[in-house]
Amino acid sequence: MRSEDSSKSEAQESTIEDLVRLYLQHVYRVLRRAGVREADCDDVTQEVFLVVARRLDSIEAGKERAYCAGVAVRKASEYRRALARRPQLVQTAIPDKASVAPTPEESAASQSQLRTLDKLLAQLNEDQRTAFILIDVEELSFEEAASALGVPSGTISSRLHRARSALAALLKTSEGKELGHDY
Amino acid sequence: MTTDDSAHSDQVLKSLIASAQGDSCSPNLSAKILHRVRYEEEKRRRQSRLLFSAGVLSVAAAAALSFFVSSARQSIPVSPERQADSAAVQPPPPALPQLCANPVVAEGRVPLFDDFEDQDARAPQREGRRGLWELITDRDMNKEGPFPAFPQLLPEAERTAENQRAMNIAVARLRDWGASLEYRFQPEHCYDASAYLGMRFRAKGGTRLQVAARQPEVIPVANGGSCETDCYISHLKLIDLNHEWTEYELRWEDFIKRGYDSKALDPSRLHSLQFAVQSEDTPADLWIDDVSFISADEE
Repeated sequence: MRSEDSSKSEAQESTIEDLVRLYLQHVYRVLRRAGVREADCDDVTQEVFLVVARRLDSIEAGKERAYCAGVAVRKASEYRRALARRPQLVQTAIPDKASVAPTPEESAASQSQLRTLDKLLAQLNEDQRTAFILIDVEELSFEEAASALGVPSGTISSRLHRARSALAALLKTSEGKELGHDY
Repeated sequence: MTTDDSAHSDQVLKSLIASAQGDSCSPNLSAKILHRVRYEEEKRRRQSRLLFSAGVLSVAAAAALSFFVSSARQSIPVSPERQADSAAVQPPPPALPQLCANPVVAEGRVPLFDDFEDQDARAPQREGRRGLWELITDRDMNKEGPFPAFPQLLPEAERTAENQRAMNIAVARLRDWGASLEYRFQPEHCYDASAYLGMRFRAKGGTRLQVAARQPEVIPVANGGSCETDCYISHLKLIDLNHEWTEYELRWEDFIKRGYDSKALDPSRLHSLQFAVQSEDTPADLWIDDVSFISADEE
């Protein structure tokens, strides 16, 4: 019994290692674009993979990326709510890299573009933003995104369509033009 | 928008997406995560071993006690009452989260929760209800919230001698998770409302309202609950409010939890009530009044 337990544990560990290796950057980017501050993103990423590790047995083969994305989306939403309930976090948080002037070592253009994108995404509603992040940024298929969010793929398609239209309109508005100066 | 404008927007968007796809985390994060996963796994294993040991000890103690009682029965004549006492020896109940270990119990005699006529954010302190109505929206992220929510005067045409005020959620377009009016029954304990059958209230607003009865298991530890992951997946009911005042009645079994765990709501372990509007249903201007439990006498 003891050896069975220990071999199962080893098998799980190697699988979680695989998932971390394959999807760490993906999860991190979903969290960042979904509004998790850079100073908190390492912690929230860890929480995502703790959930994934605990639920390893229930993840369907071939749907690992969608599963990780779904957990990341929920964690980001939970994070935003917790932040809203705990304003002291905002006051004491280490300033975002995106919110201060880039250092010479940083890629100024890239940081500026990320800042611009985040400002634009912040103006979408949560559903549209999530669809855009998963499909256009992370390049999940419609089926994967639908599985991650637990909605039909037609819903994803319409949310994405509205997100793209809204972003195009924002880029055209005076606010969008102002944002556009960043790059 | 001209074709040139559209092409330019597409180009800009593609460039932004490309930069987002190049964003990456710190190089040592992977090692940190795996370390934490192993640590948590080891912690769980230790807890299982402890629980197993505690179980073995309990069984041994129960066996010893049973042996002692049966020996005593053989040697000392006991009255029927004493026999009943010894038969009542049970294994210890499973440990409850601290919040619900000593819930405040509603007796089921004062169903009116709040008619909002008293003008303050506190619901009348009846049957151990000691909370405050609070309102928070996703626009309050950088402000000092949540804010006490005060009943508002009804539009003049709707006021009567007995009914002057109600709770109003009036929010502009919100873009994240929306707005939430919440009432936590007790600052430090669960609230046992199982003497009641559910809740009712009157409302109007022509929008979709989410009513949630929340247990501490869905509230993050930092906000006074016991949830560590996947929080805020509450037992809830969605209602499309009429434009006219309407009474809505929700039995406890009407509150459904979605997601991984679909266990029924346990009304003896309540943390808070929530009336929420999702961002996609904003702007919204809705009114809530006469929140009450449903008394068991009405069955």
